[in-house]
Amino acid sequence: MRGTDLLARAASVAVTLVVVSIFTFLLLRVLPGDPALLILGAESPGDTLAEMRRELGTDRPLLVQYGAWVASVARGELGISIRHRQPVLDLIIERLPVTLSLSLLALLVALAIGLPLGVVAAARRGTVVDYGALAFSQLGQAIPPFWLGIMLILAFALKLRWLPTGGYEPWSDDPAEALRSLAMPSLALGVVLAAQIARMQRSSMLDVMGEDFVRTARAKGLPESRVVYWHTLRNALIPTVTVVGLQVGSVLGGAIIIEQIFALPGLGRLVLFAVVNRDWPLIQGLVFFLAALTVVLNLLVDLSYAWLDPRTRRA
Amino acid sequence: MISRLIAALAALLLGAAGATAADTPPAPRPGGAVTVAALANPDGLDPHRSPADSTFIITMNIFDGLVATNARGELLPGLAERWNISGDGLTYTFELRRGVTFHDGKPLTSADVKYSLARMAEKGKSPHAADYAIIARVETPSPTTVVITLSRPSARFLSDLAYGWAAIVPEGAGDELARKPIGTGPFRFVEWVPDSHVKLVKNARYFVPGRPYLDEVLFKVIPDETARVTALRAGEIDITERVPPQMVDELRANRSLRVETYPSNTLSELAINAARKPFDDIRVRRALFHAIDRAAVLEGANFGYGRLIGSFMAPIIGEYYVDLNGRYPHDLAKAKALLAEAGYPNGFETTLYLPQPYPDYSAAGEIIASQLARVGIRVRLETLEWGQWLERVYKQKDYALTAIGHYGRLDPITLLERFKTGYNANYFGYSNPEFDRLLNEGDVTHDRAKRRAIVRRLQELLSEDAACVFLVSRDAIVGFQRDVWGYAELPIPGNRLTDVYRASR
Repeated sequence: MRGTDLLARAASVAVTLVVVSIFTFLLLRVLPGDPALLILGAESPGDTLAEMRRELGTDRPLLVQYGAWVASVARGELGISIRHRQPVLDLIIERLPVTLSLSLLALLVALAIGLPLGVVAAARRGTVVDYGALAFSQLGQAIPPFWLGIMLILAFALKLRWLPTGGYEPWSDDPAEALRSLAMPSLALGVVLAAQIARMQRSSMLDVMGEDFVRTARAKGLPESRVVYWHTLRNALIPTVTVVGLQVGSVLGGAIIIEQIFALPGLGRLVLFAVVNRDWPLIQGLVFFLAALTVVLNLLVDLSYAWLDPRTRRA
Repeated sequence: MISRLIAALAALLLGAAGATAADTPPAPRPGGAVTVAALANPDGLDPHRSPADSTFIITMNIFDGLVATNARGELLPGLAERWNISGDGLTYTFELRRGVTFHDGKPLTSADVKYSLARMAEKGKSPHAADYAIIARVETPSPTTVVITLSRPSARFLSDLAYGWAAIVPEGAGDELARKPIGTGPFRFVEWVPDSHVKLVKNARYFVPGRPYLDEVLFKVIPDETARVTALRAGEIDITERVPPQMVDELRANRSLRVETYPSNTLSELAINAARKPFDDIRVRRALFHAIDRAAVLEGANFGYGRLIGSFMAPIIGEYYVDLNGRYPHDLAKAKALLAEAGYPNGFETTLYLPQPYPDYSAAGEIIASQLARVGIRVRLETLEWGQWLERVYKQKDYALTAIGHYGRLDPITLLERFKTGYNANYFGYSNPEFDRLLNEGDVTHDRAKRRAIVRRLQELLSEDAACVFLVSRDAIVGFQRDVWGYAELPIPGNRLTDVYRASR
């Protein structure tokens, strides 16, 4: 990718983020619900709603509120949470390690299961191994992660007592405990993706195997293993990488539910809290942050094509 | 692993030997730690700024109020050793306990109390500001004396000082309290890892001698119901509130656990919008009462864990409670006759809102909908997310029926005020001049007998007018590890672990 291309991509990222921020801002104000009312709840007497709104600043004109948010972004705060009364960025940073660890481990699980399964299934097409892999990818995509999570807890935490039912140990405290606390959640989250990867990898392997250069490689007398694992695999990875890249968003989304079940103190819990309590600046900041993360990760995926397939470098 | 195996074997042998003996509490002993499940991450630990129970379940262990309460809702000395109310009911003089210090070592003085009262009453910042708007003036004639003057007499004022949000904080404390609370309470704050846990340790200088028993309390945030119960079964937590009623039997079968039920100060009802047709007709509202089999609701929604209520008062409020459950027996013929009389011989169509965050209220609503079908009332169910429920039902009062519940209050007039004409929290559209007059009378009189008579009459009026179909005061169901004792359920939001102890360690 040339410098000008990169610049163009960066500009499109910026535009995307501005559009996302305006859209979320307006969407939140259109949806029913009032943060001040949620603070006072159904138990509080008296008419302090107006004072509460004034204090929170939610009674100001929309443009002023949006301006205040943009100014806060410029200060590096991403807004101030209504309920936590803290900069949104601080709240995100506190929880980011959990969600990142969970997502990366889930991705690792997905690749570790999905890739070999897809490759082997393609190499042994039509055998029991292939059908087994197909069955796994069907089942894996059909099982909801939250259900799998609960089953894992019942098996490994309650019956076998090998792993804790939930909670999180920071890596800095004890890496082994951190891994133990993330083992089940990342498996629950990773299996769906593993199933998708296995399926995609298998079919793209089969596509590539039918191409001329593979026939040439075989004709040259290269061992089958080298044909499959070097010539075919590398070329067949591109569609899989695309799938993985596109799934980044859904991994983050899945993390929201998984964090709830495994009591993990991650971003997902913050998202839920913000939405339920109509903590507008918090939702706004979170959506902005997650959008930025997704866009940047997608950009990295695009850049990785060039490494995987030299042909795209000149495209 | 090995020690756990031995412990399990020991429990098995001991359990077989004396399963009943284990149910009588052993003598309290100091020391040990408990892990308590927190249902949600608090949005802050500042008792004057946070609205949710998730805050008070923690902060009531860190802070004290001037007045305290117990499981029966009696008002007891807290930081105030004694108090005196002037003859006109306007002036309250509190004598503070001597020698009380905050966790940072600063001694408690009347200046801290004055500061805290002002902070509780800050409109727009304190969610409970309206409760303290009645305070006209606070004087501190000595470091241990606080004189509060009210703008009008109020018999409920003392009880308003016993809630978790009436905590006394150090003078000058600001927003930092949300993350680093400093109080005088039985436990001292150590750390809060948001969405993970809050850790407290024993305040060795607590003013109640020999308390608290525990050295350490860890509140572990576990929002998911299934995960919470699983963590209890796995021995990772020692106490959890809100055990789902359908899981009680299963947990009771587990020898290492104990499940207790306590009467709670909560009320559930089918709220009726009396300002809207056809519910403006008292005969229609009474027909609803007769048509609904409330015992079936208690069984279906709460698995029988609770008590039926005939008016807006929980039986736990002993002296003020009247049992009016007999007023509207389950009688379909009578319900149909009343509907016919009101001009709806074939029933009508209506909508019932279910509040999404509350599964037991929602279940009650579903059962009611099927019961009402038998008298020709065709109910459309609609689930509302909490923010929407507050907006539509509570604020705009734009609804027909909703299945919902409320916290009780320590003071019966405070509780019943919800039905006052034109009152903000009266989303029932209920209005009865006699009710309003009696309510105002009860609000100012300190005469206990007179107050009792008024409160009884108020409950009768709500029942006669069928202001709501009153349903259930559910039990609080709490799960414990077998060696955890001394827990009590307070009739206010939040709880204290001052008297909790472990029989073994």
